[in-house]
Amino acid sequence: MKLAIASGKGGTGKTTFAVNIAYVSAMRGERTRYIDCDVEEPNGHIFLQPHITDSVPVAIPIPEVDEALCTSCGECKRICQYSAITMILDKVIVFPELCHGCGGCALVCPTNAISEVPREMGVIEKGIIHLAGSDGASSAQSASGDAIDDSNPVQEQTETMPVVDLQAGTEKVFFDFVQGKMNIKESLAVPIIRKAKEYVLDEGVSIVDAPPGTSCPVIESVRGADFLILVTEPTPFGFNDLKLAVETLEQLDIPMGIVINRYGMGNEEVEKFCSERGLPILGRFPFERRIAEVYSRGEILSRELPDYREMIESLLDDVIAMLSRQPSGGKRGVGD
Amino acid sequence: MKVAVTSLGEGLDSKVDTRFGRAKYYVLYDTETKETETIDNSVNMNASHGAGIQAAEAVANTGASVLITGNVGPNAFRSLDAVGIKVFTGADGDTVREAIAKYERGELGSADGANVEGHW
Repeated sequence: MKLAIASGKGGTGKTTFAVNIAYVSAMRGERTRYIDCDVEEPNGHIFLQPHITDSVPVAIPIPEVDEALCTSCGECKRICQYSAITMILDKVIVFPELCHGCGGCALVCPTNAISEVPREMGVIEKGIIHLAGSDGASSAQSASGDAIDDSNPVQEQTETMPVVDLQAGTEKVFFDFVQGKMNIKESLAVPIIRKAKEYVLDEGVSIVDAPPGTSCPVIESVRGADFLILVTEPTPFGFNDLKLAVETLEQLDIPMGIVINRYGMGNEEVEKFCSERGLPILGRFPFERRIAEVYSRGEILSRELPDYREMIESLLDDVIAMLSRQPSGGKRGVGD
Repeated sequence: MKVAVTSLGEGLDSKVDTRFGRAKYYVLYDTETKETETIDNSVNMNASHGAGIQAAEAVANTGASVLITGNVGPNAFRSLDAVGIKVFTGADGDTVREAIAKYERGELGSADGANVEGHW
């Protein structure tokens, strides 16, 4: 199952849900991979604390001009939509940071004066997530929200966790991590996202954490998913951006559902919109201080808060149920 | 020798436009013949990207060898420099006529690189 989490508006809780769904899926013993495609500021690692094992640079091909072969015909300039290669008077000039790496200039050059050289723009990091040892798992248990005393981890929490100790050469991995990271000063996220998505699992559960917004990086992240979860909040901003996200992403023909985070604040617009559009609401997650506290410590909510975990479990069950009702080949149509 | 000056209006008495790529006009002044000509830059002014590069090309095509403006970004500077156009920045608040006079008296500094970031 390939599950993408997007939102439109930033800060609604994409990463929170992506991390928690991945965590719950792994805790059920499913082969699970969390893939952070928010390459400008990937932050799922803060919660998942992966042990990074591998780092692969991502590069795009950019033109390099052999001036001895160049006849200043201007074909390269005419094909480039981004002025990344241009000709002023009879001088060909390349602007590497404007190049999208399409290779068009090299193709049209009649004298083969253009060769392509790699330009590194980011990195893909791979890692393993250890579920063992729920450090400080007791914190959420206290109804008072007082979470200072972590000295005595609660036994019944740890015993439900499959202990995966992935020391050298041991058992097969069932929860791992991939993130794309864009280098500072770069502006093209899509090539890095495309690379990160090569790590989507053929079997098992892949959770793709998309960037905010509704432009190319989001489309690239969500493309190919079996199901899309849009996380929103019931505020005018959340509603506005949810509409934009739905209108954009429904073009991809992927069944989608809505998660309302920080439920209890704002207004009813999001609910009204979902019911008008026939969009299933997969969950309403309350706006509560205890949740914010666990989050602010960088801890995984469904590890610390049993009731939160139950909500994530039922969300995941709903998604699986909806997918099983889909005719294979998946046309959009859940709830409409 | 032709001097190009970014300007907010047409002719020598309009104010210098401190932007290069998205300047409204370029006023061309020939230091030998004293002739002036105004070029409309509205196409580049509304360009979504690459305005500096395309403006550099437009200026190069006029045959100018000197550019006087307020600020110039990295891509524009590289483009101008590649074809040997000298860039003089800091002509803020002047009319085109005053800026040219300052240039001729050697009062404007020649830029050896961009003085602002792209998309300034």
